[in-house]
Amino acid sequence: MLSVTNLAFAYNAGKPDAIPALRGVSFTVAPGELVAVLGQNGSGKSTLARLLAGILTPTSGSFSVDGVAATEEHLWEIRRRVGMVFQRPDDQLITNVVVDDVAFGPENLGLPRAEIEARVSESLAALGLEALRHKQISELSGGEKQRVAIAGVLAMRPSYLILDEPTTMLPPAMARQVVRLAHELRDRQGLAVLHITHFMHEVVGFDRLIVLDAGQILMDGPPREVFARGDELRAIGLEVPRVTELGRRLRARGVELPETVLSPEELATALAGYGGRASERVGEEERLAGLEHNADVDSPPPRSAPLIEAIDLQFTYMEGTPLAQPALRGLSCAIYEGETVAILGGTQAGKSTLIDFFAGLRRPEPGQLRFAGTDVRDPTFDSEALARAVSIVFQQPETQLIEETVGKDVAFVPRRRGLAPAESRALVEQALTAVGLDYETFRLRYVYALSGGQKRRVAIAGALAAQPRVLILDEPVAGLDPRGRSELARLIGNLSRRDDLTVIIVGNSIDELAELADPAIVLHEGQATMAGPLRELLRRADELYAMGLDLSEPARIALALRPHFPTLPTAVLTLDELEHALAEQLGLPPPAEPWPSSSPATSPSAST
Amino acid sequence: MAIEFSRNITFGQYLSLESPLHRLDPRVKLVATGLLMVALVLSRSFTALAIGLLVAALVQVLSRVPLGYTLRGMRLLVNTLLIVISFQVLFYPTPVTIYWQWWVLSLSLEGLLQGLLLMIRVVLLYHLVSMLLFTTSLVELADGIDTLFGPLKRLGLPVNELVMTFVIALRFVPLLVAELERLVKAQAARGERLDTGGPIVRARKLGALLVPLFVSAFDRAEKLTTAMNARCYRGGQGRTKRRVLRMGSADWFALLATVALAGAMFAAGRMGLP
Repeated sequence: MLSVTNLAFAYNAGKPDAIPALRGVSFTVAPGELVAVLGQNGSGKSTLARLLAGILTPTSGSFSVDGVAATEEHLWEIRRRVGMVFQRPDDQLITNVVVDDVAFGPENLGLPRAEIEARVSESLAALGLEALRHKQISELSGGEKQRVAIAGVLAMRPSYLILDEPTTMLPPAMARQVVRLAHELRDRQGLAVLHITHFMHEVVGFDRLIVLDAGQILMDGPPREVFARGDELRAIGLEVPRVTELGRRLRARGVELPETVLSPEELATALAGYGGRASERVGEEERLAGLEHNADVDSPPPRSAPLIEAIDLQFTYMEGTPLAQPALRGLSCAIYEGETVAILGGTQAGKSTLIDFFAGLRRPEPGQLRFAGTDVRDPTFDSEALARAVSIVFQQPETQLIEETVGKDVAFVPRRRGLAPAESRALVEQALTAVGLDYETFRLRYVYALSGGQKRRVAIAGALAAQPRVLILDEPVAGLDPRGRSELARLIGNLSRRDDLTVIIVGNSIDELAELADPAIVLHEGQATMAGPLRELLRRADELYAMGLDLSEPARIALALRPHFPTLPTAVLTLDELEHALAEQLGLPPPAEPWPSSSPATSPSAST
Repeated sequence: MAIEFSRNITFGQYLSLESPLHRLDPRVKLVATGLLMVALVLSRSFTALAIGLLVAALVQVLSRVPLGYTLRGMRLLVNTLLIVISFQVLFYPTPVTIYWQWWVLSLSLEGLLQGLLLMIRVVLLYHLVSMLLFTTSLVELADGIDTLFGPLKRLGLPVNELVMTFVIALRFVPLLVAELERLVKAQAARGERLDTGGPIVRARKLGALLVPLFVSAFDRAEKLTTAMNARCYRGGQGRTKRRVLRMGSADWFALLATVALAGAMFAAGRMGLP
């Protein structure tokens, strides 16, 4: 039993600038329990994890692990019993070969050699890493590294395993694997797992959820109970799983459903009685689907030459070394002025490499890159012009801010171009306003004192202040909590509506950001494999899935409901669309309140 | 413009290949590297250096590391050496066979030969260390050094801690190179390109990157310390090892061969061979 009593922690405790992070929490975790700790950024969940793993010392309060009190004297025993996996595997892998790293913990425990060997093999087997035993860690993918990190902790045979936001930096498919792993470790090894996250869909199968807000426990109970309190969750920057929200909406429209629906399967079972009505409508649905398809085909907008065109681009990292890794294998695509384009793909698809080319950071060789009709390798091509026209915001741009204060950083490019102070000031003000930050309030703020989401906005403002024709955003919402994500998505939505700006959004799933884009280009193993309107691509959901691309959550729910509603369209992007489509299947009357139209409501009758 | 430093800075990189050199006992590799380094430093004759070159070629082949990769990693060193050595050649104090002379500067056969010797020696030393690091994983290296210097523990020296520090410093090299790459790219994207301007301007631009680079290095170091603590690392006391170091016949053979070659290099100088 892990029992926590009034545990509190403040950074700089006892000093005038003390920052309380945890304000007295009490709870217990039983052996073998699967618990999720939820909360938005700054709610104290990471502090809690560090306290329990014996990395931080509590300011007040106490806890004990299976009867061992967490005191200075028992520190190492606590650290052994409570294993901790950190957010980034790169920060916790100590050696450079898989097997060595897994052995590091047992070696520190001073175990006999045979025992170390046994535990290492056991841990590697538990995580399916046997084949990678002698691999170099730098050659592994993010998900594999995360598994090695978990194996390293497991080899110490802890009774409690803390996963500190292990999924935030992973693409969705790998994140799902990690969550599945948490279940397996509990089921097979009897481990109690504390999974820290802000993604709700990950935790529906957990025994218990602990919701933290401002350093205190706001809720503590099974998922069904916690997710019934959707409004309270939203108030603290969290959300409920989409399917729960869908259930709530249908219930509000008079469908007989349990109060809280946790999975698409549950929803399907609950709706089983309604199935009959849908089948009567099959003929009509099919006819409609055909009609819409035709409409799509005969209206391609008349187009001028593409703004950026890649022709047979090829690139290999570490070329000519034993670490060579091909990234682009003959990639061709075109981007037109004023469009908002999503470049989508799983890991190692070549997305980040491709946008390096777009920004002129690599020389296309072999292959060709044309900007506004001219080959960038042409001697007459003005590469300075390309640099001016394209602004790029890299992944986690907050780590790449150059100046100390917000105003200076955003003004970086205007100043370098030698603009007059008044002109530069106007640009900075415009850019900050565009990302929703008040110029006067933020101008003199220190960059390091901003929150993660704010830093990211400053980075985008810095890119906008360069007055680009093309703005490239590489996974702009990765790592943010739900509130941060939706705020940034809204902001990018505003940018994408500007006619004078071509926006390129890079992502690994069809999420709220990809929805903004038209068209989308799908990359797979260094080639552009599909391109077209997102809705059209969604009809080939299975192919997208096979390419390691994640579907939007509404589409995944629709797919899961398909066996019960054979004519339910899966080409849905938003929850609104899915609700509408499902309501039609169920033969519900239109909603009493006006249709919520944040995005233009499209006829959802397209059937795959 | 190609921002890909990790392709050109290979120091501290381990390559997990299958080769006879990879399979050698790390202690043998360490002792052999040490012996050959001493022999190289002491060598004053071309014959000794010729043997050294032969050894280098042999090691290169046995390691299965592509020659291009090794050479690319040496480019920076060779360029720096060329500048340093050209001074040494020009200022050679006792020239005899003089080709060209102006004030205290001269270009002489003796100076050129001396410079060439130095060049070969430094390049060979660097090659030896690179080969050791290419073919030995961090833990093997740590275990090897730990065993070899183990006796010093009796003198109260924290051998294990020192080894761990050294090994982690090595691990940081490729990480910092990658970080530098990221920073340069981020700056380039905002119009601050490293490859424009004269050498002084470039040096200043590179200097501006050092602060963020160090900030990130300290940040990483702190996180790594936390991670090591969380996995119960508390120094060498009471720590055990998974790997068993056992000398096989290949290891003994390699050791003997190295002793013979190092001895030959040493003897060549003594016997007054050119």
